[in-house]
Amino acid sequence: MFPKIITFCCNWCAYPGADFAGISHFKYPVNARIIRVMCSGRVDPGLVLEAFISGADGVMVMGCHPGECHYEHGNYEAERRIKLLRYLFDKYELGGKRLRVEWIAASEGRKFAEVTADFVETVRKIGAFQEKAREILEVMKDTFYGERLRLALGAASRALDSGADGEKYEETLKKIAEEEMKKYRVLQTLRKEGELCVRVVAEKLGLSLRETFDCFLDLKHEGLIEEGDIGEDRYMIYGFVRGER
Amino acid sequence: MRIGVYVCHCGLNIEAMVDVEEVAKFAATLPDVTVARDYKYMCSDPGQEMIKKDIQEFELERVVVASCSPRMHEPTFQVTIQEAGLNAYCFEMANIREHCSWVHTDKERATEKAEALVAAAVFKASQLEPLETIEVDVTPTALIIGAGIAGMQAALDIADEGFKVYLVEKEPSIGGHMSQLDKTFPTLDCSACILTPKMVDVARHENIELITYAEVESIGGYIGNFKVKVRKKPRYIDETKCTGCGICAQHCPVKALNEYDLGLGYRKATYVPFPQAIPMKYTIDRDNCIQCRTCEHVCGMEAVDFEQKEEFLEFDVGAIVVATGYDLLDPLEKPEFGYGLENVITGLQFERLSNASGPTAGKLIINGKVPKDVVFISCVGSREKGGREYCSRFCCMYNAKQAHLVGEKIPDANVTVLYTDMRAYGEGFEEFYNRVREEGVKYVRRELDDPIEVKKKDGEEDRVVVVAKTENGLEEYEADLVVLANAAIARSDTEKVRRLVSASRSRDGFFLELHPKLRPIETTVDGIFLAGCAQAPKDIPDSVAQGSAAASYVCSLLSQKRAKGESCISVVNEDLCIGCGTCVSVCPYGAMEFSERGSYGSSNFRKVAQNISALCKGCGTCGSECPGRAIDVKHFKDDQILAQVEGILSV
Amino acid sequence: MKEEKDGMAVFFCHCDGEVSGMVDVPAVMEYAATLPKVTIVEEHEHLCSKEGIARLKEVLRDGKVDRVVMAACSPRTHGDIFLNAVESVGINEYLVEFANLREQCAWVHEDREEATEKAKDLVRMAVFRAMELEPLDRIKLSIFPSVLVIGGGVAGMEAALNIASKGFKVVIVERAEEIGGRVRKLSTTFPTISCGIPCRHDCPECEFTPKVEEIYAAGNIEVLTSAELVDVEGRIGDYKVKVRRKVGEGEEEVRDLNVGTVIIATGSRTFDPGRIPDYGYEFEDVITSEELELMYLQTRKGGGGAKLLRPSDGRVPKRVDFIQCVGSRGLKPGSNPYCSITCCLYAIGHARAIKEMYPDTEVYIHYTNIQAPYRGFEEYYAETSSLGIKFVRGAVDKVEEQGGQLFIGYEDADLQRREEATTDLVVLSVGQEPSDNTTKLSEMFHVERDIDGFFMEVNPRVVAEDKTGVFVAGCALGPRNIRYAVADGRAAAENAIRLMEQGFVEVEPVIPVVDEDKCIRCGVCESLCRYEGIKVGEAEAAEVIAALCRGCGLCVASCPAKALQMKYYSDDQLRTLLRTAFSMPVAVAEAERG
Repeated sequence: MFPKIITFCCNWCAYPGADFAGISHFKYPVNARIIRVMCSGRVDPGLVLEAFISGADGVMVMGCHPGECHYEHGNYEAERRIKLLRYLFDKYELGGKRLRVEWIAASEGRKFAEVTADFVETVRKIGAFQEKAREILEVMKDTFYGERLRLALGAASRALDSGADGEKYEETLKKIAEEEMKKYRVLQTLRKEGELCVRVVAEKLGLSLRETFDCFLDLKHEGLIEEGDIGEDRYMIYGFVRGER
Repeated sequence: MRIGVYVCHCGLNIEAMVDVEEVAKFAATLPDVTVARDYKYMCSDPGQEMIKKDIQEFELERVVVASCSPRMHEPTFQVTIQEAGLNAYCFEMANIREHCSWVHTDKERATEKAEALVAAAVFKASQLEPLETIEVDVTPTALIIGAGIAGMQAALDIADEGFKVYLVEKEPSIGGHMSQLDKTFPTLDCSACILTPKMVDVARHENIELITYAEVESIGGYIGNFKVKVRKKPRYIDETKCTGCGICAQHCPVKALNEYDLGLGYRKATYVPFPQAIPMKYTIDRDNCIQCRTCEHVCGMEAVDFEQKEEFLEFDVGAIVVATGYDLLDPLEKPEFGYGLENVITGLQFERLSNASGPTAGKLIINGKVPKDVVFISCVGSREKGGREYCSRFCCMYNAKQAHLVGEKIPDANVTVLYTDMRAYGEGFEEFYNRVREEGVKYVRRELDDPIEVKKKDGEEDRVVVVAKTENGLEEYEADLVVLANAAIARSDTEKVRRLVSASRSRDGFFLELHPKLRPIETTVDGIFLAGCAQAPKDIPDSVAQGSAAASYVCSLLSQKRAKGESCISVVNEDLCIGCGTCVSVCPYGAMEFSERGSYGSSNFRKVAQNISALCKGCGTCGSECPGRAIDVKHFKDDQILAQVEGILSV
Repeated sequence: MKEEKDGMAVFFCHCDGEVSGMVDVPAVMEYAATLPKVTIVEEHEHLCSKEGIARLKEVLRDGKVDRVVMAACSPRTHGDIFLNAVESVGINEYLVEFANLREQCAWVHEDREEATEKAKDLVRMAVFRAMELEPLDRIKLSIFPSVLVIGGGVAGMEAALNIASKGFKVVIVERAEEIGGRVRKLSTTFPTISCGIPCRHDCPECEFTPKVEEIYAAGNIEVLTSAELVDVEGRIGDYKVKVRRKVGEGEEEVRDLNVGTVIIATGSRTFDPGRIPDYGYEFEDVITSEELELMYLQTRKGGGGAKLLRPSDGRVPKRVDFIQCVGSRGLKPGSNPYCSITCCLYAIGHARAIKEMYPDTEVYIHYTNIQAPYRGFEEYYAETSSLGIKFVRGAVDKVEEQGGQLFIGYEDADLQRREEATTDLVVLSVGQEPSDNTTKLSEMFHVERDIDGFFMEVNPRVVAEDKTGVFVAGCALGPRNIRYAVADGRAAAENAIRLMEQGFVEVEPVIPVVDEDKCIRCGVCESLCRYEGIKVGEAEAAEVIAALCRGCGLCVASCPAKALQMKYYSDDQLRTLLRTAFSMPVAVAEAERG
């Protein structure tokens, strides 16, 4: 079956909305599997990425309409996360439209059915993931399970409430996410291919030497890689530290 | 009026171009001149004795010496005539050396000019008045601006003498440039190893009040009595609570380029600049901070305070040492040197790279590569004709040191130094230079005006090519690493600090000492002294020495308890003053104020200007601007200057 | 010896063909039997029926299973019935998982084969998640036996009297100087509320005054007037409330109250017609229905009964025009989108009263739809038409005054024409909107509001659990007639009484657990929680306050250190769903192959 869709539904609006679609006998494609959570704010961005890694072609997060969240603001957090994920999906050419946030009220059975049908079509048009996508998704998962990005993401509403500039914050979130993505891509490459130097990794990943080296320094600082010998091209070879993760 | 005139030969310095005897004879003919003599060296003991004897014998009232610049020997002769019982201000000098013999070629005409200068001095001398010497109380504390090695040395020396020192540093930590260095030349001592104990001493000294992350906001007053206001910038971390544990930085999600590593490494938005920082207190960089407030929550001491405001500290000091250090030229201003390419760095960046506390933990690697071909280029922005003409002084030697370090860390490296003149001027420097050459470092000479270009090597991301005309002709050097010895320049905020202390700057932009040879520590403002690279580029021992020297000046002033003030100050003729306030607004020292005469509301009530003698530096701006010609500067009165003019024209 | 139970039962419901009509249930059952750990696969035509439940219990009682999957309708439909049944045979209710084969499969697909395949997927997901579940115990919270009633209108008074009659203590906090609410401002109620006294005025006092007396007479009701809530903390069953109250000229006192439950009966606010210029409210003879009530009350108090005289010159109006839906039903820019419910009724009542007083006066009612599907009303409306009162369907587009004369311009939709006429008095039938303290109270008690800004009407059948102990009654929920507000008050009182009589409440144990080793005390959880359900205090790690936690899981998904896990919705449990959504999990598939 293609495309495979995972739909996270909150318990208060979206899940009853899906039920209401059933009660009203509004038809929609069989492609979506609904996972019930209490609030759309429960949907960890890492889990969204795990959904893709587990084979989903599209993920939707459905919550209550803005201002109507049963838990007051969980849906806004969900939106912030998915927005960032979409940005990264587009940036890494995975198709940002594979991700969607929708607000479904308990009475909006028709909307549920229509949105589901539309999303299935959208994802169908994007097509299946390319071969290399899985690796990027794994890296993105590490990024979204990493403390650094989670801190910036989780503290967003606290920062904005205390007067931080929303646009600047969003830009910083993107910047942090991209930095972490680079770092974990480098780590993944070393983990997969054994000992490598900056030049080879930079070439493999299409990064500049400097940004690659910055990642090496960070990873070394975090104790995830260690320095080895110097290669014939005079580049220092680094290796993944076993036993981690 | 009885005037004595003494014309000096200054060996051959004056005598060779001025007919000194002729001038003396001429002087004797001038009105009021009782005696006129010439002598080989007037400043010598016999010369001075001659003047003293004449004063007594001829009952001289004024003395004129025609010799060198008054900036050289005016104080000498003032003391001489004082010893003979005359007031120091009954003295006038005619500068027939710097302004005459040394600058002319026709002896006859030079002699004529010398006569005119002597006439001017004599005419003025007849108008001179004895002046009182003013004395002020001295607050026994000192302010030191800048806690680099020079400022720290000055602070320690002054504090050791028992005086309280306020040491103000604008960065979050003390230590200055020296804390960034790896090894020091020529001994190859580890910079941090010799510096950090001093930093600790500074922090621990009971007489030193360390005020970091702070800038001097204003300085008022005068020698012995400066009123200082310091603005302490908010760290957003309570220094009294922060234990320096670093958990805030550990969790801070925001990375920013570390300015301390000159962009080679990163720090968090909550940071200490380097691991041995003093004080070991974290600072939040609010420009990069996204206010996630994680630091606030993870801090076990509740030290984070986002509401912290800047704080103002006010205190009085008797003396001030300016030790604000230097900046380095942004090499992008010299695009031919290729700065901005990944493997082109500055000398100071090299220090960070080589330093164990630097981004690569002391490994000389550029983007993961161990360089093989390394080229050092000296004089980047220094010694430029028609521009920055001075030599930055320490680059030749740090080039040599860094060339040595490359060889030490990378034994198979090819190291070339493109230099112009090797300046190995200090103790052990020449030896070190020779040692480095013996170690295999290739020194290639090039002229500063000759073309040079550093560019990326085609097709290789990690190599550059240096194309330069050298002593061997047009050459190309391929390199994995190019290190630029960029010029040391005056701090970007020199002008701001200059205004605070009312001192002067040299043509190069650094602070100007009172005399380049004889008074290298003092400034044009009494009670304000210079130390370290704020005055001009210098190496560590020189900075330390100057720090100590400044300290000794300060201590001698503070221990006197009283200081001599300026006698050549403005006086207001209240009968002529119309109270317009022009002088109040033009005075650069705030030495003019309004004073009330008569009772308020009555017909005789008026405001007049009044000089605050302790603040007045005698520049005379007020007098020149005064619409009612109500102000005269003592010793430079209108009548005295006009008499001088009359004297010149009389010849 | 303890019986070894480690199997799983999967129950299929045909739902009388509703499921089996589109899903090949036997095929799915066959598939379910192949899934790991599944030991029992059962089916029933109608599982929620008495027989179905009996069968369920019977199977579970005999079978050695500790986990159950219900492949039936939505858990929101019959979930509780099944859970109760499972609990009754000693299986923990948190070891039950649902596969929603009806609302989210059979009813929404058209291809039997596809739907059957999807049903297999849903069952597989449920089976694998069920394996990950762990038994949980509900959390028991004590209920302090006293009630705070906010608002002393009819709804609040009704609630207070009911609760007091059961012997519990009640405190009424009323913002105004007197209790009574809006009803106090009404002259007459329609169509008739029997007050027991055969009088031609259905004055609310007759119904009302005795109630107020009763409140003051009750020993266990304390009334705090001129009082407002300033602060609340605590949880269901144990609220600490601060009330600020005027106690004299310029003097205030702050009272601390401890209550177990709260009834919000703060009523509504009357729409201000000045916000819509078309209605000419600035003219003297254009009045609101509320001002009309006041006129009646004043003339009645002066003796001589209720009279209607024009405000401008005190004359009896020869023509009166009622304009309906002022500020309601989104008729004009600036109006609210909803129907205010009460206006049709009171306008007709007023029109009849005027006609009765002054038979020569022409009375027009400009309406859109007459909305009042209440008992006795249709008859009242029909009768009114026969009294010569003119019902004109269509919008009023202008009310103007020129030279002391009112003009009204309106559409007559039935005759399909626009008319302009002179009139003597215009009465605006103004609607209702949320009281101005609604936002504040909703934030204080974390009670949801609906799209119109009123408190959300909660259907206890839909909402599984109330963790506030806060009940809302009367117009605070939206516009209401008096009788419904009174009924609300009674219902709210019942809820509060039930809790207090029980003395405790059991709440869901769906709360986070903290891994103290991982927690970095960053405070993100605390900053995100609106319920103070998780705190980073002096301890080494964050602490969950079970009584306040609502179980949303926001903190869990946001925890930077991944130090939080949600009970019943753990990452592993959700991950299992992801991994089994479209195929067997890789490990199981490999094991089967190998």
